Amino acid sequence: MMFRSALFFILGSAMLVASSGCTDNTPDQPSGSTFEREDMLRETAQNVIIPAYSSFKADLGQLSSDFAQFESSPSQSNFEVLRNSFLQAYQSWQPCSPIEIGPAAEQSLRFSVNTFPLDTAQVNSNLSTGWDNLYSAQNNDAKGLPALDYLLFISDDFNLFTQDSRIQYFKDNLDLVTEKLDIVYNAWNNGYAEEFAVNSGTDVGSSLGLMVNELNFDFELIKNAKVAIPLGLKTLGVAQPETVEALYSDASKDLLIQNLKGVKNLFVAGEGTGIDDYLDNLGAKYGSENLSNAIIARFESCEAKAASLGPSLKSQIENKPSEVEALHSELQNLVVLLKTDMPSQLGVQITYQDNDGD
Amino acid sequence: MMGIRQTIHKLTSNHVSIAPLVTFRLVFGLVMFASILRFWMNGWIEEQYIIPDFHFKYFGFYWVPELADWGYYLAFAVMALSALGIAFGAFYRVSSVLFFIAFTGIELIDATYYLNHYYFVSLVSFLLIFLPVHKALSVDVRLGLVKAANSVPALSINILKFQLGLVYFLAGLAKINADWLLHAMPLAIWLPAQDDFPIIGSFFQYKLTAFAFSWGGMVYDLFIPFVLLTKRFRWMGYAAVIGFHLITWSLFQIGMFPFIMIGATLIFFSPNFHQRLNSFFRVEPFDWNFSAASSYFSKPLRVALVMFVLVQVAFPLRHIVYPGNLFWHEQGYRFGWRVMLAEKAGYAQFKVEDKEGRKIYVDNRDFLTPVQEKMMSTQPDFLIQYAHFLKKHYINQNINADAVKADVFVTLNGRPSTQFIDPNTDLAAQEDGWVNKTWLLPFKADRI
Repeated sequence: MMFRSALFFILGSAMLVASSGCTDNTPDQPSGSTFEREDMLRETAQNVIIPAYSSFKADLGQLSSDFAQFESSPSQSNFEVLRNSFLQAYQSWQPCSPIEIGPAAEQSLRFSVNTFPLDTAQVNSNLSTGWDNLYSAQNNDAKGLPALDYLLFISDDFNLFTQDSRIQYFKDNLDLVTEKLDIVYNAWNNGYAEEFAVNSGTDVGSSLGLMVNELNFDFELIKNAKVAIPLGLKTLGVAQPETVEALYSDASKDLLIQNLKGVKNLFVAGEGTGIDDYLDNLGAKYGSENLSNAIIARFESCEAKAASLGPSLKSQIENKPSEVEALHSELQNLVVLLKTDMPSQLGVQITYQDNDGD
Repeated sequence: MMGIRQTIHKLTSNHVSIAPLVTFRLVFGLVMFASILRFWMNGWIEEQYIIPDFHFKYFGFYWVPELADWGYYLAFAVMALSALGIAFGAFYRVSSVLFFIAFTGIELIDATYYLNHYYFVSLVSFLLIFLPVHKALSVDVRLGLVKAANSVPALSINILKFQLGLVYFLAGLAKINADWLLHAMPLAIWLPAQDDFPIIGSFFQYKLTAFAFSWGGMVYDLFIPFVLLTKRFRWMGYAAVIGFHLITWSLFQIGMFPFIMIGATLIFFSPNFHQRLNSFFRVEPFDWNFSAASSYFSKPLRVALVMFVLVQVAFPLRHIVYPGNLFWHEQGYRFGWRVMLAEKAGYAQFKVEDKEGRKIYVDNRDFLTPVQEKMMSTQPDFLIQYAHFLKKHYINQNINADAVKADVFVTLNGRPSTQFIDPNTDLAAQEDGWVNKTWLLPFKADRI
């Protein structure tokens, strides 16, 4: 009898503890000095993420109407207007790039919108023989903003743009980008922002975990795809300037800077409470200074290095690569903090798999 | 006073009831079966073994072959079935051998996924091959494959108690270090990240809580084996076992380990307890009336088990022969029951140089999964293996790869990241092994 009641007592209390362990997400935070991750996430969504998508959406809308204007009355001046509004849209895409979270991840937004370098052979074959589906694997590198960049900037004369099926290819690609962005934008404005905010844990599927991982992923794309590859750092030092982003408009440098600003802005949540404030709240140090300040300082020095380059990243690489190399090592200095110190201090996980805590 | 000879005889050769082993077999087999199903359902067979192009190895086990895709599924199927074989004592000899080989073989294929509890499972399943756990209430007895026995030599139970007790005790010993006890690291990082934990979560922001957990964990690990050995405090100890493991399970991503330990520590209870437990679940009527069986362990086997015990005590302590901070260089770290002791993260920029000194900067994501990259960036033997892999890869690409160097930065327990290895070392010229790696930069002790 004694034995049975003891057994039931133990199994019972075990189940009680186990079940309380399963309700991890209950938002019954005590008030007090505890840092509210949920507030940080809400502010990040309101101050950074939704505005980034909104302005990209607005610029795509402008691009679309300028395109309609050009279509109805093709002229060199309308072509210039169209080109400018494209460059504007390409710039406002950049802060969206690191937000490959939730709806954007489901839509593979970055992949659809901005995969470069462009496969021009595939584009030209599409232009001459037609295309069924821009989503097919053969068009992986032949779509999105890089395709628009090619169509608009391969020639300064608007007449080429009106030839073959270029107008249609432009339209289909603009539709693809707009469609994808609309899905993501609508999701954030219809509930995902709240879902994002209440998913306030620190495991790999939590919003903070996703942000840290995607912020890193995008930053490494900047370092590798936008800088290292064109510099020739993956090809024994043989420069590959033709692999830069926005090769035809030559807007690579500005886009790079906008991308850097976008990643930083995600980190600081604009004027609001961001990961930087959370790190401060945790008392995260880098030597004697706050880790958040060290990270912001390195962001600023990356931006400064990028800004000091000549207007064309491509010709800078061709003519004076040493300054781009300096940018690359500055980027690398920042990756170290973003990839080791930051996640380590935040205690976020990078995988669902079991660990030993090492 | 008993003499040493009598004590040894009592602990090894005396005959005792088989009941604790029946429970152990059942619990271990079923928990293993559940673990394997969980692993499979989570898609980890594909994620951990099939998707990666490259697998990190254990020194000395490079020969363990990587399998074809179906081979991994077959190995896990074998594991699942043989786990059930162990649980129910069905075709026990074959089941226990198959389980040990399949489980250990899979672990040896990629060291990225090393977990202390996988090592524990390998050791226990190895021991189980030689223990007479299937001689009662088993399919084998029912089928007449083995003769039923209700007693076994005490050694077959005590060796399991030893193994379990050792895990706890050494885990406790490993917690006696400055970071853990004087700085509450890494719990002071991990606990605040869990401040949404029900009821007690709001206390996690305070460093005092981290200190309480650190010291509590150390005391628990060091003393729990001895508490479980006493008759008087055993129930209290077992309640602590359950509480401790369920709390750590709900706080950290440690998988099935808590359930393995909660199940396995039942072995410390008396034969009487296990007889009642087995009757409680009414497996089948069984005559527990004690009768001495013939001696089970042959002399060579007894010698082998003594060797096993000695190795188990010595091997985890091998780190003392390496200079410097163990948590930093990790030489002699694995197989040492060091759990939850380090928050470590790293970043490694590899550069492959050709004969003319021209460089290729490696993007690790081209070759490694995120987990592999994380593990590689902080573990010196992985750095060497990856360097060899890269050199071979680029030579196959017709690049005259010569040296492989890396800028590696590591942060340990909240310290600022610092350079981990000499960036001028040609890692591809280094051989994996137990020799002290002199190209590791010394740990910068910035606090006591």
